[in-house]
Amino acid sequence: MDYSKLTDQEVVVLARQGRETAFRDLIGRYQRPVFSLIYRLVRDRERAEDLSQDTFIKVLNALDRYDPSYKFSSWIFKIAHNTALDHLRKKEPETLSLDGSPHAETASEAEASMVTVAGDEQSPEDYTAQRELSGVLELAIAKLRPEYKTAIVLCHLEGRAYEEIAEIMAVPLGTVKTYIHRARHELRGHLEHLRAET
Amino acid sequence: MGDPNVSDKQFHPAAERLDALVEGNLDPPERLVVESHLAGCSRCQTEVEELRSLFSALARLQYFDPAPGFVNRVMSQVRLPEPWWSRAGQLLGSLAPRTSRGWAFASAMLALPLVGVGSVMLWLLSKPYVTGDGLVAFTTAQASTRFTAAWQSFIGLVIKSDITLLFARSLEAMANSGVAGTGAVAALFAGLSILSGYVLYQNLVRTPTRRSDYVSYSF
Repeated sequence: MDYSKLTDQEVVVLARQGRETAFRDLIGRYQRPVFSLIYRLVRDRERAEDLSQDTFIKVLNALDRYDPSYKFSSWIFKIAHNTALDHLRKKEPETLSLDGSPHAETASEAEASMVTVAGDEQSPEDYTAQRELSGVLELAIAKLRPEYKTAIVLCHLEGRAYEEIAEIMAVPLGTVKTYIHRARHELRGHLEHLRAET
Repeated sequence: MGDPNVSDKQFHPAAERLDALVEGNLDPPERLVVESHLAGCSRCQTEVEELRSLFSALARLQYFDPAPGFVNRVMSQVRLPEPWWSRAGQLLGSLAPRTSRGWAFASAMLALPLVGVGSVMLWLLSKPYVTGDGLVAFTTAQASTRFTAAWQSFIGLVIKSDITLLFARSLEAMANSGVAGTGAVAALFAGLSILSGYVLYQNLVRTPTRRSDYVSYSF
């Protein structure tokens, strides 16, 4: 069966009937976008793989509870975003050193809450991740708060409308606009800073 | 009251407005206002140029791929929904009696019509004007005619697949096969009667002492 001509909703219907190929097609459609979002959020390939796997398992095992009036892509991104955020909250003390407090309202608050890491002790995984994310833009994105990262990735990589991003992140539309505006503002600052360094 | 989209002091458009301009999300009249301001404001021009260069950099964002075998790793942990026939089997299983009394009742319900039909047959055969062959021929012809008509009507209305038609033809052929077909049906009835008797015996006459002694069949 040629799934490429079917919409997400149609493939979901086939998956609900127990067709394994339909499940595989759904994973194939979303593995890159989901992994790319989570990887940018956690910046660790192995963890991003685990969390992406968790996302798909949650989604596919709950297909019978999926409401077809809701966009499938929004649903899967919402679960991916929540899964990654849950992970980051659990390891908040570690991530604080990179991103500042997730509760910080402004860039200066976030910067003030950053903890300076002494030394340069990177695990091999972190080193690999760092190399893969070595582009200046990726480094600048990595400095953003997780909420800003998700908003920027969904807006610029996935091309999602603000309304859809608000639905995915479960925040008001105005908050999404603020996130994206502040993220762009911070990115410009980080980019200038990083370019000056290199 | 000033325009909330315009900064207070220097009357530059608000930063969100410049974002919207670069995104192409401004209405034509708003765009005209912002663009006319840009024409004479080098500060806002620089701002817009920087935004445009950021947008073009963000447009080059790349996707990352998970390690090979990702699909298989996910699939190994996904519970595939069971097909309808499996769910139907489980439903039937859940309806099966769970106690010896339940089984006795179910068996009796199954056995009674068989015993009734058998008695009527015996009574009919005891009449001097009814012969075995005649009864079989009459019953077969009646059953065949009615069954075929009903079946074909059902098929015509509901299912018109080739497989169903083939199945119907087979049944029709069996019904029309005379003594041999009737014999097969009688053997089936006899088998079911023996099974019912056995279940009744196990549950009513023989007192079970252990759970494993219960006779349980899923029909």
